[in-house]
Amino acid sequence: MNAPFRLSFRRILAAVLILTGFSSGSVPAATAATVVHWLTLSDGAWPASVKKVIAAFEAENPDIKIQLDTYPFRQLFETIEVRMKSQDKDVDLMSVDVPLVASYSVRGFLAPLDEYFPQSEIEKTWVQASWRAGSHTDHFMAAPQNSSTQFMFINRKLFQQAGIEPPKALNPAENLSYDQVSQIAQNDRWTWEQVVDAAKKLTKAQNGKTEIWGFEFDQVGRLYQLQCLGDSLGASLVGPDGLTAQGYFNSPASLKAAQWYGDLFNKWKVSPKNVAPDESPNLFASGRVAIFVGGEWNVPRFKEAGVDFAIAPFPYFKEGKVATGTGSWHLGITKQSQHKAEAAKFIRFICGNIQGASIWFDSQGQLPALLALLDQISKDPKYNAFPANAYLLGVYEAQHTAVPRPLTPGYLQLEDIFASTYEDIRNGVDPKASLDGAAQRLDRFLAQFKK
Amino acid sequence: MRQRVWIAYLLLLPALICLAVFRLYPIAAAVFGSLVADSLTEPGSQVFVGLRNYLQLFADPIFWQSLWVTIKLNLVINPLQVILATLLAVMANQRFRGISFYRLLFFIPLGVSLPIASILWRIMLDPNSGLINSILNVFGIPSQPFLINENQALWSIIAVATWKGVSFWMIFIWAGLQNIPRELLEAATIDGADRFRRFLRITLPLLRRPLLFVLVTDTAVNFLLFVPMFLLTRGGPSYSTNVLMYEAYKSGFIYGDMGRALALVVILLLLVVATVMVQFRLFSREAEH
Repeated sequence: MNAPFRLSFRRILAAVLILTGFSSGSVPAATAATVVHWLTLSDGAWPASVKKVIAAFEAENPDIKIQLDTYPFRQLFETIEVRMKSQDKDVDLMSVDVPLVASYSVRGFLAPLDEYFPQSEIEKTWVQASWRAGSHTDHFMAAPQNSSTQFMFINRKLFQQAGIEPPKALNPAENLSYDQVSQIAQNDRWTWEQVVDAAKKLTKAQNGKTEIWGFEFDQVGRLYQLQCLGDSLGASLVGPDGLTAQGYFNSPASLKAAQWYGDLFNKWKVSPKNVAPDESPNLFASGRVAIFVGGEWNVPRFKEAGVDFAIAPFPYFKEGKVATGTGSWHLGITKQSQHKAEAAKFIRFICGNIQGASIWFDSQGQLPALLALLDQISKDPKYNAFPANAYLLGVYEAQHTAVPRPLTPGYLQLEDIFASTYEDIRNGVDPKASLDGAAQRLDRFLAQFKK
Repeated sequence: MRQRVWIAYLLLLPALICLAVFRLYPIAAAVFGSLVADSLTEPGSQVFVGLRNYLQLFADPIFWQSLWVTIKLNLVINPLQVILATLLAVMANQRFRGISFYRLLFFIPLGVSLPIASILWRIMLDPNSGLINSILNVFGIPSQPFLINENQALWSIIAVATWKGVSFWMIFIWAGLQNIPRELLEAATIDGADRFRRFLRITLPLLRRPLLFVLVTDTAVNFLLFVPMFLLTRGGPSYSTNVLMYEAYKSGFIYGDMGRALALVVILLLLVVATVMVQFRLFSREAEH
C-alpha cells in the first residue's frame, strides 16, 4: 500500500533536489536582469507602441527589462504627484509633459541627466526648442521622446455638400514634396475669420438639434491648443519671469482671443459644448464635424475611421501672426531610482537613437524631436504621399511657427486654472470677468514660488 | 477584579490598535501635514510653516466660495435624502399585490456604482442631445443647460447624488419600520387614528434612532461627496460645484500642494464633527422626550 507513495515521494524528493541544485549554483544561473520601471500613459495606441520599442531594446540589452506602469492621461499626473512625494523607489523612468519639467525639477522629482548626455551631444541630437524645454537651470532633466504639432482637418464631403471651397490642403491621392507643403503653409493658410465664416455655413441643424457642427477643437479647453489663439494676437499667459499672471493672462490680446473662443459656442454656435477632449476626435471621425483643429496624432485615427479628410495648416488671426502648438512628452529619471544607468540607456535608445526613435515614430505617428529622424522624414520620398506628408507640414511648423508653452514652476496651477476658465467661457460666462478672476487666483498660487 | 480589567483591555486591544492605526494616526498625520510645505530651496524636503497654509486659505476667496458651496449642498441634500428615504421606506413597507416590483425599482440605484451613475447622468443631462432635455421638449419646455450652467449645476449634482443615495438609506429606515410593534399601530387604528396620524404620532417617534443614524452618516458622506464633481463638472462652472473636498483633491493631486490640501481636509473634518455633534444633541434630546 505504501510502495507507490514511497516511490512517488522519492521522485518528488529527487525533483526538488535537482531544482534546488540548479538554483543554488551547482549549475551557473543566468544573471537576473535589472528591471527598470517606467511610469507612463495608457491612452490609445501608446502602450502598444512603447512595447514595440521595448522589445527591440531588450533584444539588444538582455540584462535590462523595462516594466510598464501605465495610467490614463489625467491620472498619470496625479500618480506622479503621489508616488514621487512618497519617494517610491519602484519608479525609475517617468513620462514628463514638457511644461512640467521645471515644476518636477524644483520639487526634486527628477534626477539630472547631465552625466549620461553631455551638452555637445544634446545639441547635435534634438531640436533646440525641445532640449531647451527639457532643461532646468542649466541641467538636462528630461529627454524629448517626441514633439507635436497642430493641423486643421477638413471633412471634404461636408465641404462639398455645403458648396464651400476648402482651403488649399494636403489631399488624398496627391503627392507633395517638402517644398510644396511649405508653399501651402506660407501662402494658403486660412485665418480664424475664414474658419468661422465657413463653419457658420457648415453647421446644420434639424428639428432644433445640431446634426453637423462646423468647427471643433481637439483639446476643447486645454492650454496646449488654446494658447495658440492668444499667441497669434501677441499675448502671453504669464510674464517673462513665469510668475506673474496679472496683466498677461487677462491682457487685451488674451481677452480678444477668449472672446473669440466663447463666441464659437455662444454667439455663432458652430461648436458643440459639453464634449470632453477624449471624445472630441470621435465627432470628426464619425462625420459630425466639418473642421477639426487637432494634433498630428489624429492622422492614423481618422485614416482608420475611413473619413474623407484633407489636412490644412493651423489657422491664425488676420491681424496677428501664425502660432502653432509644440512640445510633447519627455522622458526623465526619478531622483530615487536605483537603476539610473540602465534607465539612461533606455532613454538613449527611444529618444536619442534613430533605430529606437524610428520604431516609436512608425508605430505612434507623433512628430519626432530627433534631428536625424526629422532630416530623414523631410528627404524620404515615402513621406510625400498622403497622409504621411502631414509630417512634412509638421516639420515646417516646428521650424517656423511653433510657440512653446510657458516655462513656469506653477505650470500645474496655470494649466488647471486655464482649463476651468475656458470651460466657463465656453459655457457662457463673461470672458473679462473670467480672465480677471483667474489672473488673481493664479497670482496667489504663483506667489509661493517667488520666495 | 484588577485582573478582569486587564483581560477586558487585552480583548479590546486589537480594536484599539486598529482605531489608532486606521483612524487616529491618519488624522494626526493630516494635522501635521497641514503645518508643513515643500521646500523650494532643497528639492524633495519639507519645511515647517506653522499656520501659513490655513492663513493663505482664509485669504483666498475661492476657499470661502467652496465652503459656502459645501454648506449649501449639505443644507439641501441631507434633509432631502432623509425625507425621500423615509417616504420610500414607508412605501416599501406596504403589503399589496405587485409591491415586489416597486421594491426592485427602489433598489436599482444601489446596484449602480456612483462613478457609473455619474457618467450615465452626464449623458442623460447633455444639453444638446440628452434624454432629459428630449423629455422636457415633449412637454414644450425648452432645453436646459444643467451641468454647464452655474445656476443649475449644483442642483443637478444634488439630483444625481440623491438618486444614487436614497435607496441605500432607505434600507436602514425600512429595517426600523419593521421593528415597530404591529400591535401599537393596530391599537391606534382601533382608537380611530387615521393613516397620517399613525405615521406622525407612532411611526415617526419610534423611527428616531434609525433616522439619527441615517442623518449622521448621510451628513458625513455628503460632506465628503466628491465623485460627481470630479466626473461631471470638475468644480465648475465658475466654481459653483467646487466643494471643499474637490478643492482639497485639486490642491493635493493636481497642484501638488499637499499642505494646502491637508489644511482643507482638517477644516472639513472639523466641520463634519461640529455638524454631527449638533445633530446628535438635537436628536438624542428629542429621543429622550
